[in-house]
Amino acid sequence: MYKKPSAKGGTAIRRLMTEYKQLINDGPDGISAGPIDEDNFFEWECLIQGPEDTPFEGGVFPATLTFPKDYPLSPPTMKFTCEMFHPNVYKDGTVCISILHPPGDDPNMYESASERWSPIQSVEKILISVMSMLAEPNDESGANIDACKVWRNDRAEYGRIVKANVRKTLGL
Amino acid sequence: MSFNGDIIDDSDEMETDTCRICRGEGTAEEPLYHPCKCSGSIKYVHQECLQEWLQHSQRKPTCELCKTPFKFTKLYAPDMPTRIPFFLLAEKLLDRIRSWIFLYQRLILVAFVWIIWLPLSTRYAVRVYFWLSDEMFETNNNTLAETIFLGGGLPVDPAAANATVVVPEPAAPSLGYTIKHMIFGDLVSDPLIEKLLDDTFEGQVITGLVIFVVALVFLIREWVLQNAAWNVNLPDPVRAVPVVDERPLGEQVMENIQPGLLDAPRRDREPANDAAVALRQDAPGDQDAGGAGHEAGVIDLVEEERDRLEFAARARQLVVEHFADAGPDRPNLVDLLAQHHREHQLEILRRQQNNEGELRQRHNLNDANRAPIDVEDGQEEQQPAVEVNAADAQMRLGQLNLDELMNDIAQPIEPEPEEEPEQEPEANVEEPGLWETVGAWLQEYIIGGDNQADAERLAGAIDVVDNFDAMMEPAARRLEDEEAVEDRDGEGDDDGDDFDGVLEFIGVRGPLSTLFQNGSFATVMMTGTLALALWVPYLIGKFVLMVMSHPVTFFGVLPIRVMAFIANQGVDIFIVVLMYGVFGVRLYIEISEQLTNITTTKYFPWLAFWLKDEADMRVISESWARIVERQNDATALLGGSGMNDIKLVLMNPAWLKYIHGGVVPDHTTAIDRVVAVFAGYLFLIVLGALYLSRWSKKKGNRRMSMALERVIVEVLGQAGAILKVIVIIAIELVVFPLFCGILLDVALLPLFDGASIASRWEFTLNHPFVSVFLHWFAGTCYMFHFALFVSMCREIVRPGLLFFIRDPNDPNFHPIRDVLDRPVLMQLRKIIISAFIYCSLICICLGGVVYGLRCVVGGGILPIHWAWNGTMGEAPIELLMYQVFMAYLLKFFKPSGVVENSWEFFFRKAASVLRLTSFILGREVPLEQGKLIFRSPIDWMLSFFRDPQGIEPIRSADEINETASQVLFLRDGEFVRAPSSDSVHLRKERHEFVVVNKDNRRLDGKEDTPEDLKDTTVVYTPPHFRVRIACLLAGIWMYATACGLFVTLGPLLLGREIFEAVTDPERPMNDVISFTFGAYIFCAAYMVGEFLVTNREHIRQKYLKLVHSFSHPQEFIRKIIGIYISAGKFVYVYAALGFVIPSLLGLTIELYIVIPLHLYYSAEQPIIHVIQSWALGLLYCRGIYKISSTIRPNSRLETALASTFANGYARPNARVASNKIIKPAVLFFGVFLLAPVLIVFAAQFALRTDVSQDVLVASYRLIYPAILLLLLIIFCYRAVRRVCSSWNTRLRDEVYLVGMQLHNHADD
Repeated sequence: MYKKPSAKGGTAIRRLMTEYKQLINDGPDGISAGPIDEDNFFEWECLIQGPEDTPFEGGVFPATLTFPKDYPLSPPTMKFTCEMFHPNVYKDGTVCISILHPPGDDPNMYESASERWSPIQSVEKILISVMSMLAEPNDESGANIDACKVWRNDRAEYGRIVKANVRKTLGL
Repeated sequence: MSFNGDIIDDSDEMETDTCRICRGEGTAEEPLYHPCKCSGSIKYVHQECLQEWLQHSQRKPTCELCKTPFKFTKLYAPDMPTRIPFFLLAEKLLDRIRSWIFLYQRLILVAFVWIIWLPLSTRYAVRVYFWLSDEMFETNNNTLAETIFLGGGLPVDPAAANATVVVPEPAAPSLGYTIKHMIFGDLVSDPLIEKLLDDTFEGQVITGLVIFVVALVFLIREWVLQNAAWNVNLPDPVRAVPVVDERPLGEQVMENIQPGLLDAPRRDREPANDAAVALRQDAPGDQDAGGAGHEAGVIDLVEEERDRLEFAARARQLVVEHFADAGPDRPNLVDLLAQHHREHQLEILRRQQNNEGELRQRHNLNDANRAPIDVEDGQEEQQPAVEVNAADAQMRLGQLNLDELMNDIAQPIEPEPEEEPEQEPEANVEEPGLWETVGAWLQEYIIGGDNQADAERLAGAIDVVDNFDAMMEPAARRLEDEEAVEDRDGEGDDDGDDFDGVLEFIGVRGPLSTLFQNGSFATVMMTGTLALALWVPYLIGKFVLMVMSHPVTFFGVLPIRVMAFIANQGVDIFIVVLMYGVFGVRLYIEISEQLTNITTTKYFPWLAFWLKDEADMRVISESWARIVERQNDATALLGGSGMNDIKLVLMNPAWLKYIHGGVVPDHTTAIDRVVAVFAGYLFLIVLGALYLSRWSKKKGNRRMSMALERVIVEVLGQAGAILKVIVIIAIELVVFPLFCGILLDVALLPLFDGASIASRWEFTLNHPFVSVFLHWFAGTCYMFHFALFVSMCREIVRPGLLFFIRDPNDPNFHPIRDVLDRPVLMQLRKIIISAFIYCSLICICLGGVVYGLRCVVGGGILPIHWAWNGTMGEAPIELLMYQVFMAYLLKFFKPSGVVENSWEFFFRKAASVLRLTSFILGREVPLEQGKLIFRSPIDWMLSFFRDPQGIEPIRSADEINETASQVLFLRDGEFVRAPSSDSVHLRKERHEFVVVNKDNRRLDGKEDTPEDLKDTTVVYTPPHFRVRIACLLAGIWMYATACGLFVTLGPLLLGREIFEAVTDPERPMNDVISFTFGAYIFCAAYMVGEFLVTNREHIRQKYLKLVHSFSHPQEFIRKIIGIYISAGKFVYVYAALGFVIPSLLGLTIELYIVIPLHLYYSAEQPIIHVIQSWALGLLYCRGIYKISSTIRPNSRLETALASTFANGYARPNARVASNKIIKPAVLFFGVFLLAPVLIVFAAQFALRTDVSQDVLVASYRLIYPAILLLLLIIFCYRAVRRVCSSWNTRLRDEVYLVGMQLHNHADD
C-alpha cells in the first residue's frame, strides 16, 4: 500500500516554483510567465508573442494560467485577457487545446491520449503549444465557430480581423 | 510566504536528475527510477509520484509518451505463508458470500418495491377511486349505460328492482390475467396469490401507461412551448390588453405618472397596458433600418431592441426606487430618466464604434432619427415612459419582444393593429349563449383566432415569421454550436454519473431509507396523478352524465345517497377506531394486572414472557381469552345501542373487501368507465372554455386580472394548445392509418382464401387489439410507401409541380407550429380531403386491380396460398435463400433505383406524348407548343423522315390557307404562371396558374405585385389541359398496375408452375415461396442477360482471341489449360467454402448434439439428412462469421477471406483460401468427426473381444456425446481453476501485499 503525499498543495507549489525558476533562467523566446502575486502561486500571468509570418505577428497577448491544487496531476486552464479571434479560443478567451485537456477518453476522438495533459508537460510546453496553435489553428475542434468559418472560408478576412485585434491589444 | 530566496539560490540544480512529475530530486528514501524508454529531462520519476499519477489518470500502467508498460512487482509481507491458511480462506469466502447475499437481498428488495409494491398500490388506488365514485353515485344496480340510456331511476318496487338487476356474468378475463397466463400458464393454484399476481400485472400495465402518458404530455408541452413563441394566437396578456386609446400618447403618459406618484406599485403595473402601443410607437424609427430587409438589418434591430430593453429595465428600476423613496418631486425624476437615457445613448455609441463602418452608419442614422424625440421638450417625458413600458414588456417572455418586433415589421403603416380584434367582444351587446361562448372560445384558442385577424394580415405575418425565422436560423445555429462546444468538455463523466444517479434513485445504492422514500414518493405521485387525471374526470363525468340523464331523481336522491355514504364510512371508521381503542385500553389494563400478579418486577413486564414457566403462560393466555370475550361483549353492547353490523364492519370493512376485488358486485363495465372519463374531460374542457371566454370579456374593461387568474388563464391556454396538438397528432398518426388499413383490408380481400367482411368483423370482435393493431400497421406501411412514392416523384418532376403537397424535407416545414397556428376546422378539412384521396386511391387503384383480377382471371391465381405446409422436404432451403441471398440481391439490384428509373422513363414518355413536358418536367420543347398540320396523308408519312425544325410556325388557323407549304405548325395552348418551388406559400389573394405571355406578363391586364411574382415560373400548357392531366393520372395508374402485375404475377406464376411440377399438387406450395423462387429465376435471367449485354465487347474479344489461337496449337492448349485452371480454382474455392465446410460443421453439430438429444428423447433410428445439415451448417457458418467479425474485427478469418477475394469474387485466390481457411477447417472438423470413430475402433481392436452389434452401435453413438462431455468438463475445470487462482491472488494481495516495487527499464 502506498501512502499519499500529505499535502497536495505542497507538491504543486514546489513544482511550480521549479518551473518558474526554469522559465526565468532559460525560457524560450517570445514567452514570459510568472505568478501574478508571489503569495499565490496558482495564478500566473503570461505574455505570448504573436508568431512571425502570421496575422498575429507583432502582437503581444496577455493571458492568465490558473493551476489546480493537484497540479501537475490536473492541467491548468488558460485564458487570454485580451480580445482574441481564433478558432481554438472561446469568445471569453479560454484556450481550447489538447494539451490542456485532462487525460481520459475523448468522446470525439479528436485527440489521442499522448497529445493531452500529463505531468510530463509543463508551463513552458503549454505556452509553446499555444504559440504554435496561434500559427496553425486546428479547425477540427473549433471553440469559436465564427472564427472557424472565417478561417476556413475567407482567410483574408480572418487576417484582417486578427490584425485589428493585434492593433487593439497594442493600444493603437 | 516568500520563495524568492529558494528560487534564485543556485543555478546548477538543472544539471541534477529530477523527477518528471514533481521536479524534485531523488533521495535515499525516495530514489528516482527510469521505468521507460524516455530519456532527457523526463527520464526519471519517483515511484510515488508515478503511482499517484497512474491512480489519478485511471489509465493502464504505460508511459503516455513512449507507451512502454511500467513494470511493477508486488512486495508481499515477509511473514506470508506459502499456502494461504484455510481459516483465512474460509473467512474471506464467508465475507464474500455474505456481501453477495446482502447485495441480492438488496436487489430483491428493490425489485419488490418497484415491480410489486408500486404497481400493486397503483392498482388498489385505481380500485379505491372507482369504488368511491361508484358507491357514491350508483343509484341502482344497472350498468351506467343502462342508467343513462334507459333512464332507470331508483327502483320503486324492490321486486321490480330485482328483476332489472343484471346478473353479473363471469367477467371477461382481465388483461393482466391474460398476460400472466400467456407467460406462466397455470403455475400458481392458490387463488389469493393468483389474484395478487393478476393485480400486480394490471398495476404494472397501469403504471407503465401512466408514465408513458405523462412523458408524452410533457414532451408535447415542450414542443408547444418551443413553438408557441411563434404562435400568434395563444392567449397573451400583453397582446390582449391594448385597447384603442385615441388620446395623444403624452397625455396617457402624464396620466400614468400622476397616479403613480400616489401609488407606486400600481403605477408600476399600469403602463404594461401601453407597452405594446409604446413599442409600436417606437417602431417606425427602427423601421428605417429594418425596412431594407437585410438580414444584418433585422439582427441589428433585434439587438438594438434588446439594448433598449436592458436600458429600460434599469430605468424602470430607477423609477421604482424613486417612488419607493416617495418624495413628490416629479421634475427630478424626469431629469433623472432623461440623463439616464443620454448615458445609454452614449454607451450605444461607444459600442457601435467597435463595429464595422456600415453598421455604424445605420445606427447613426437611427440615432439621428430618434434625436428629435430627445430634444423636444414637450416629449421629454414621453421617452422615459416609453422605456418604462418597455421594461414591463420585458418582464414577460423574452420571445415577446421578437413577436412584437415582427408585427412591427409586418405592419409598418398601421401602428396599432392589435386593437381591432379586441373590440369585437365588447361590441357584442347580446349576452352569448352557452354554446356560442364555447364556440367563441374554441375559435379563439383552438381554431386559432382566425376571426381576430383578417386573412391577409395573418398571411403577411406568417410570411414575415418565416422570413424572420430563416434569418434568425444562422444565429440560432451558431448559438447552438457554441453551446455544443462548451458542453463537450463536461461530457466525459456524464454517462457514469447518470447511471450512478439512476442506481441511487431506484435504491440499489445509497441508504436503504432512500429506497423506501423514493418508493413512497413514486407511489404518492402515481396515485396523485391517477386521482387528478382519472378519478376526478371520472367523477365529474359520471356526475354530469347522471344529471343530464335524469336530473329530477338525481337532485332528489343523490345528496341523500352521498350523505349516507359519507356517514356510513365515517361511522365505520369511527367505530373501528373506537373499538380498537377500547380493545387496546382493556388489553393494556388486563395485561398489566396479570403481570403485576405474576412477575417479580413490574418495570420489565415483557421479560416475564421469557422468564416465566408454562403455568404463568397459561394464566396469561387465560386472561387474553377473557379480554377477547369482554371485547366481544363490548361489541355486542355497542351493537345493541342501534348501530348496524359493527362486527361485520370490523371483520370485513367494505373497502378491504373491495380492494381484494370482486366481492362487491361490479356492475360498471369498462366501457362505461371510459365513457364517463371522456365525459369528464369534455366537461372540464367546456368549463375551461367558459372561464376563458369570461376572462376575455372581463379584460375588456381594462382591469388587470389578478395574478392567480392570469396563471389559470395561462395554464388553460397551454392545455388548450396541448390538447389541440394531441388531437391532431392522434388523428394523423392513429385514426388516419387505421382508416387506411381497414380500407386496404377490404380492397385486398380477394387475395385471402375464404376472407370476407363478415369474417374480418368476427375476428375484430374476438381479437380487438390484434385486429386494430394489424390494420393500423398496414395503413401506416401504406402511407409510408405512398409518401416515398410522392417524394420520388418530387425528384423526377419539375420543382413546384407538387406544391399542393407539403414537402416534409422543406426546412420551413414545422408540423407542430402548423398545428398550433392553423384552425382546427381547417386542419380537419385538410385531413378529410386527404382521407378522401387516399380512400379513392385504395379503392380504385388497388381494389380495382385486385377485384378486376379476380373477375378476369378467376380462381386460377387468386386467392394467394398463404398457408404454410411445412418446408420443402427436410431442408429449409427457402429460409436459407431469404437469409443468405436476399441481402446480396437487394444490394445488387437496388430496387429503389430501378423503380425510380422506370418512373422517370414513364414520366418522360407520357409527358412528351401528352405535350406536357414543359408543365411536368420543366423542359421547354418548342415542338410541343403546337401541332403539325398535314395537308395530305403522304405528308404525314413523310414527316417521319423529315426534320421538323424547318417548318415555319403560324399563329392561327386562318393562316393555314395563306401559307403554301405542305406541313404547317400551328401554335396553340397558352403559357401560365406556376409556382417554382414546392415550399411556396399559398395565399388566398394570389391566384396560381394565371395566364401570361412568354415573358411572364399577365394577359388580363392586371398589375402584378412583387408578391405575385415570387417563386413563380412560366410553363406551357397545351389545349384540353385538364383532359391531358386526367390522361396522365390514368396513365400513371395503368403503368403502376402493369408494372405491379408484371413484377408480382410473373415470378409467382413461374414459381407455382415449377413447384407444381416438382411437389405434390395436393399440397400447394406457399405462394410467398413460389414467388421468391420465381423472382430468383427472373433475377438470374436478368443478370445473365445484363452481363452479356454490358460485356459483349469483352466477350467478343475473348472469343476472337480464342478463335485466333486455333492457328497456334501451343497457345490454344495453354489457353484451354488456363481456363480449366481458373475454372477449377473457382469451383474448388466455392465448393469448399460453400459446401464442404458448412456440411462438416453441420455434421459435427448433428453428431455431437442433435443425435444424442434425439436418442435421449426417442428411440427411433436417427437419420442424418445431408442437405439439411449442409443448410444448417451454412446458416451456422454465417452466424459464427458475423458474430466473430463483430466481436473481434480484423480477425485472421476475416483477413484470410478478404485476401482470398481480393481480385473479385470471380477470381478467388485458391492458394490463400486453401492454406488459411480450407485446410485448417477440414483438419479441425476431420479430427472431431473421425477421432471418436478411431477411438472406438482402437478400443475394439485392443480388447479383441467379440462385441455384439448393438453394443458396437451404442458405443459409436455414445462416443460423441461422451467426448463432448469430456471437453466440457475440461473447459469448466480450467475456468474454475482460473477463477480460483485469480481469487487466490486477490486474497493474497488483500492480506499480505505491502507495496509495489517499480523496476527500471533497462534492467530485467
